[in-house]
Amino acid sequence: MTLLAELSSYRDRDARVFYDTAGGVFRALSAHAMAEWDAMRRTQFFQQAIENGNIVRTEQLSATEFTPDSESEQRAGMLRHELIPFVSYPFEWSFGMLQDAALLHLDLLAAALNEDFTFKDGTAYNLQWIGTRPVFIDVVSVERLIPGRAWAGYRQFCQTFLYPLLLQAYKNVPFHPWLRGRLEGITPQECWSLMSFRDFFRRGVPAHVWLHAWLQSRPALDEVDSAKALATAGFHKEQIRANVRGLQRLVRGLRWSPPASTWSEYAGANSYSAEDRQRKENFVRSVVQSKRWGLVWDVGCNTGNFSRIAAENSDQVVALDADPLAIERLYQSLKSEPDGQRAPILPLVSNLVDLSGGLGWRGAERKALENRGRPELTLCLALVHHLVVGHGIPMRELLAWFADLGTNLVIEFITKDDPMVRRLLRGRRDNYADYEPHVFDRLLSEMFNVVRKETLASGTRTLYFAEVRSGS
Amino acid sequence: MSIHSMEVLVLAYFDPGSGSLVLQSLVGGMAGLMVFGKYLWVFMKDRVCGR
Repeated sequence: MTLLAELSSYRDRDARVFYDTAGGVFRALSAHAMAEWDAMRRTQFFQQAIENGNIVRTEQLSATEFTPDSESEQRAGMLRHELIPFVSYPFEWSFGMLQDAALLHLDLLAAALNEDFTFKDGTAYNLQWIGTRPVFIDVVSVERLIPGRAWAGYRQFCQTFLYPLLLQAYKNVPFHPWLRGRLEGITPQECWSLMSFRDFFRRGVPAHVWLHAWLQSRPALDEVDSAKALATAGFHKEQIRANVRGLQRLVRGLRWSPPASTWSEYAGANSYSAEDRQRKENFVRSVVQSKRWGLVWDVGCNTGNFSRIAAENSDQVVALDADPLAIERLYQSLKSEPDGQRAPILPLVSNLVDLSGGLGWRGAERKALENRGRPELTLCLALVHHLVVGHGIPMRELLAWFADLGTNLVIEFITKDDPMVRRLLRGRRDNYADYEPHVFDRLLSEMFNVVRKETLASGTRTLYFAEVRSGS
Repeated sequence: MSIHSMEVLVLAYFDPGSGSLVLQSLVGGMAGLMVFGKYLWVFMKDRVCGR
């Protein structure tokens, strides 16, 4: 089996990530990690978590599939993981998604502690999504609890889960730029600096923020070997439990009350007639039903109405929108649906004109969106005018980006006399010569194979279905 | 409590942060007061001895 190492998986030498040529995901375990895995997989909490879909399905490769590398300490055993349909990062999740991921992590930790296991880290990057359910993917993070040892992942949990949530819940500052700006997240000192005097009395702040910040970088702490001192003092897992319970209550109680953003009111306020809305849905549905689609992107998904249509006949839909509130509402709406009937939609906060690139060591630890899975079909509805007129992206370059993705495209062009575009042009000099129907037609036909075209009754909106131009 | 079990004192592949470990004994219950007391003692000693 030819294995390719995942460049970004270097921190934990005990269990590096590998891929095979078929796209399967594996972890090569050291002897130490194998011993921990062996103990953990027999526990009730682990088996229950697998059954509930809370931990990613994992199996150990048998002796016939894998021979331990006698020369390498790092390969005493091998695990294979269930594939995540589309990898995403905490800075792309909505408030509710980060909150639910945090709660899952705490629930798993609490369950593990009952059987004397703990998690050696606490980072939000250990969670992914299958459909709209958070899933814990770093099984090697679970280890037998050594008596007297505190939870090593507590600070990571604060930095990548708690502080971002507090920032948004208490200060109404979206955490996405912060988490994207630094993979380690927000430090205790920074979080404390962001709090005002009034915030000191809010839940979670005195202990997890103020005291936490105060206890960082104290010279006296270096002289006290904290881990050893705790153990000698009789630190008990009951204290971890109490802390976890406190964090669960705290995280569960956090609420984000945003002011209504313009786009969240879009569904009610937009100017489609009922007939046009129906025709648009029919158009999209006929494309969706024309064949079974693999990965579909709905860019500028807003309410997710068309993501749901796409999900009727595709394996996975990624619904992208720059507005955290729109994504939060879509997530809560999907979450409220009964488990077995939930559409395979992953809502993500992502701005097409400000996409995150490769991050971390060698810019390879976290990947750019288009490197995590190319869409087979992309819906770009009522968005082109925002990108070309609103942001000034040249029409040719926008279409070229879709062409480079190698995606089939359902795209909507809205003319300048439409109220939606007129609103954008207000107060702006109209130097968008490329924003004309005949220019759009020409460019689209140049880069794609235009299969269908339909102008809605309003006369200002035209839908296109364009296929990948083969051999280009 | 066996000292030998503490030979490998930090199992994490990153620095969990001394302060973050100590904090858990505070938020997790009163038993950790002893640890905090020890830290406080060193802290006070430094201040008094004018370091």
